[in-house]
Amino acid sequence: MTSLRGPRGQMVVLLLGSAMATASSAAMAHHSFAMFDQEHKSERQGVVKEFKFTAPHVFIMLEVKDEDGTSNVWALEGEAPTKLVRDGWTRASLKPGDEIKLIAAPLRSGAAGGSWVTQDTAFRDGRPIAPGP
Amino acid sequence: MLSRSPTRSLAAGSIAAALSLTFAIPAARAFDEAKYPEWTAYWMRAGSGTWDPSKPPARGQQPPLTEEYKALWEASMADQASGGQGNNPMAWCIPPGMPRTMIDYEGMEVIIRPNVTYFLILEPQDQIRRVFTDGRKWPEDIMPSYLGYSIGTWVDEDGDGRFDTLLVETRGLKTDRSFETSGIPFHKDGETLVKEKIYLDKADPNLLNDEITTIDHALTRPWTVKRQYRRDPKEVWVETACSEDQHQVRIGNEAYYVGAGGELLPTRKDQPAPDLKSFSKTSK
Repeated sequence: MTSLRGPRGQMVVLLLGSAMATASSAAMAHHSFAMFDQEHKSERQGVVKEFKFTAPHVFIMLEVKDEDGTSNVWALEGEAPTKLVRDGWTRASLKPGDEIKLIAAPLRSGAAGGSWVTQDTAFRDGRPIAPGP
Repeated sequence: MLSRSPTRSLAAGSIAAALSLTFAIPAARAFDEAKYPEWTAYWMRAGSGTWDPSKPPARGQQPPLTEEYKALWEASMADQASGGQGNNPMAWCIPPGMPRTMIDYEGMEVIIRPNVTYFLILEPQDQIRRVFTDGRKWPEDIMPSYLGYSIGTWVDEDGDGRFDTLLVETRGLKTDRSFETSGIPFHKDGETLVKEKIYLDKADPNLLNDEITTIDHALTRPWTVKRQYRRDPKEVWVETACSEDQHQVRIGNEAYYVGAGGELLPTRKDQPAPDLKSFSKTSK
């Protein structure tokens, strides 16, 4: 495991292998993932508002509560549905209300968007979301 | 004039049907599967999603670009580093086109028929690539397309009486393409020529090789890469329609992002908003 500072200076923890997984993801994506700041990835915990198992990439709309108590819904972009199916995910893997945590690379603008990969995503209590490949 | 009895009509019909069958059978048998290689499979790329899978992404690709096109590529990467998409039309759901589609991002099927070989490619949107093998000549005028116009020739390289190699040439390509994500460009003249040599690996019949040579005026020499695809028993046929939920938005020369509530988000710091002068009011 490794740790780094998030965009707001908070200490965040990266799951083992996340850097490699994200690099692989970026290489296979149809658009450039350089738009997401890989140098400032941080853990996000929140409540799933919507899980969109759609092309070209799967989305989690995640409601995240900031330190000041305000809530924002983040548009978090994953990989292609085929890749998720290969990783054991289905369109029913998440539902609204699920509490999860993930490592997100934010938009370089700082707006409420980012990217994630399956390897760095779990339910808040640590249970895996899918059985794996 | 003789009247046609029902019996005679029936007999005539039977003869016509028999003749039809007689002629149909040779036509159906014209395709002798034993002459062609066994490429039926769900093929998944064996290497990375970069263009040359033997090299690292972005600058690690070391494409043999002319100075002019190297500068365009550097500009593309600089734009991406600030949050844009650079020279990567596929970001806007434009098809990858040839030769990029042969990266085979998420699965491919090959169907061999006597006059044409089809490549059914999933990502980023279901595409059918046709390679004509009926001996046709090049058309005088080819309407440009992303996949281009492909003519192939079957070859029996090892002389065992069965075709083992498909040689393909592709012309007539549209220009808004790039080799891969970082935006390695093609020349704007639309004269790209792609040559392929496709064959099963001698040591591993579950591996399909595609030696792809691109000849383009943005390059100082032909650029050859070898891509490989592995038979994957875990077939994942998911319909792929790129524009279904596309969050990358291009307005003018700017790249924006669609947020969770459908709102437009900036992708880079201090990015100007789109020109909204034609709207009477804006929502808050």
